Amino acid sequence: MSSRPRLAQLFIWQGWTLLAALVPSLTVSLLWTPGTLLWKLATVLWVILWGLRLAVWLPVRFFRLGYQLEADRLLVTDGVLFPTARIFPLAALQTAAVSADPLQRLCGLRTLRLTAAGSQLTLPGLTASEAVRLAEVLLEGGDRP
Amino acid sequence: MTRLRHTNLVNALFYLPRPAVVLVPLLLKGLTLIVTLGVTAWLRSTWVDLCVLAAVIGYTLLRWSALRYALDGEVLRIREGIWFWKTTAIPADRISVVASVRPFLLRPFGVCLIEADTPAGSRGRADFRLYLSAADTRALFHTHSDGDIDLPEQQQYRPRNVSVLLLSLFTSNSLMGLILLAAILQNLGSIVGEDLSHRLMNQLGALGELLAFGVPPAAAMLAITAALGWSVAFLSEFLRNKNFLTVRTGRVLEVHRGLFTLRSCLVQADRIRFVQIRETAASRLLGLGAVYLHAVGVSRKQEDLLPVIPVVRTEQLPTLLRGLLPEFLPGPLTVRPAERSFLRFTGPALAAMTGSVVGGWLLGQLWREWQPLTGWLTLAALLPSIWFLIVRVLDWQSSGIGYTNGDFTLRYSKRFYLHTVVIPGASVVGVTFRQSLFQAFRGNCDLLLDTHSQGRRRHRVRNLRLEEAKALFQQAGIFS
Repeated sequence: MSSRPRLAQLFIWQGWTLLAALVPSLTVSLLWTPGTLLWKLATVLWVILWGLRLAVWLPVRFFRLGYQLEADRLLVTDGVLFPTARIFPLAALQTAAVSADPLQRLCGLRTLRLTAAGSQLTLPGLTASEAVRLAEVLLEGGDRP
Repeated sequence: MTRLRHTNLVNALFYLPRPAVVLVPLLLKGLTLIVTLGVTAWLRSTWVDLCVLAAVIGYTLLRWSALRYALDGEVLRIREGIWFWKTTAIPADRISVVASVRPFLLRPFGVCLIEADTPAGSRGRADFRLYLSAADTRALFHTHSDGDIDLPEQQQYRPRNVSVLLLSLFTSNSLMGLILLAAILQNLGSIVGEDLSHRLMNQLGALGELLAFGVPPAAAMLAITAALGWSVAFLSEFLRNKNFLTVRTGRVLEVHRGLFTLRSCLVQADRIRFVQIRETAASRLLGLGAVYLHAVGVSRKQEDLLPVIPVVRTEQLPTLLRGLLPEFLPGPLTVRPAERSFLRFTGPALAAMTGSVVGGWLLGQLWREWQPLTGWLTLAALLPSIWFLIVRVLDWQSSGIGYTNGDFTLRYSKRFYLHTVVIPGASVVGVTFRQSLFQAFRGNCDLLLDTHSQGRRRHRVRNLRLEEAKALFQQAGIFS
């Protein structure tokens, strides 16, 4: 079984990033008087950083993210600057949590969080039924540690 | 999937913001106004606090209403959150420890705080934490009678009161007692009035001056404060350990204790990382010892140890261990400290003693007018150093390591305690042979054995012969 996050998850990440832009915007306005040179420089800087995150970082992360379920392990690909492939043995799995923020609930998506002794894995952008089914399969799979 | 149901209303306590609790004693204090000035006057002075309290309670109840759970025997599920939903599933066979606490005030309601923990997740917080009915508590664990240990149906051990008393004696800590006392006095002051707590503190100061026979009042006050803190801690520990009972049924070990607040802990025997027999210098000399076990989630404290057998005579321990923890019987020690190791063991204690004396003398020379006080402070610093020396001498006589039937047995000291630890080979995650320059010259080493649960635990045996230690681990198959 293999899958990738739904496209709506990318828009959800971008939505939260836009919302978080209030923080640097307010900070810069509080620290410097609007219209001054320092204010303009700081504004340009944070706008560029936020723009890079919205237009580059998040889409690259979204397209790199994927998982593949095998008999005794879960393979997850992730990473932006450093592409990674993680192997998560099912026998080490201890708990599984399905969560959703308000935007994910609007779009019918869920995030699956898996924990083992000493490690943790997060799979965002799954549909609700997919997340629950995958959690059930993972919890049943593998021997007791 | 089993349907999720509402939890007990007591679980709303989890969502009550701690700052809101400060309002309660203020409102209680304001109730005295009702007696003198009437209800209207009290409402006029506290209506803002009441509105804030109502909003806090409303928010708390809203969050509680979103909390659901299910126990279907195979998987535990909790769903929580209003804006940010979260459903956590924990398979029952992943759980290492189930602990239940029945606070005194909640006993009439028949609920207990249940905490279930797996090797994953945070060390400071259990993976599953809810107030549940007593019936649901037993449903979390299945008792298995099969296995490779041939045990009667159930083994019970109920220690005598003197054992519990001695356990409380050895585990009491003056600092913790003082913190508890300070919290009580602070809360007393905010409810009854600052005047009462100030009066109590003044009385304490007067008592210090009265009892200072030939001792500087400041030193006497420090001693009384430490004694008071220790007394409070001892009483707290004794009430915590009263009615101690250990039960072994199949693969499950249960420890029950507590007088007002009832505490129970259920541990699967195959999830125990190691068992420790702990002694102080005094208990070693008196032939006494206590047994603790370490498993994931037994305690939120740093040490993460659960007492299994309170303080008993050491000759009774093998019989008791055979009944309750037959998998963890200490074996013989085959590797002992190298010859001429005395200074290696006692060096730090001797340095501490020398430092106390020299430091006290220097302070006395610098502040001559404070000499009586610095003299007493030097004595206060010297006494624990002498005690530390005794511990290290006992450690030098008894430390070592052995390997029997797949388990390592270690004897070593750490700070003021002497430990005999039985560690299953499978629990060992790291072995380090550490050498100082002098040890490298002589072919000796300190052995550091790591076990791991939700954090690393290190066991250190001092100054063994390097070749003998390596040979032991080769025999155990750790170095092939």
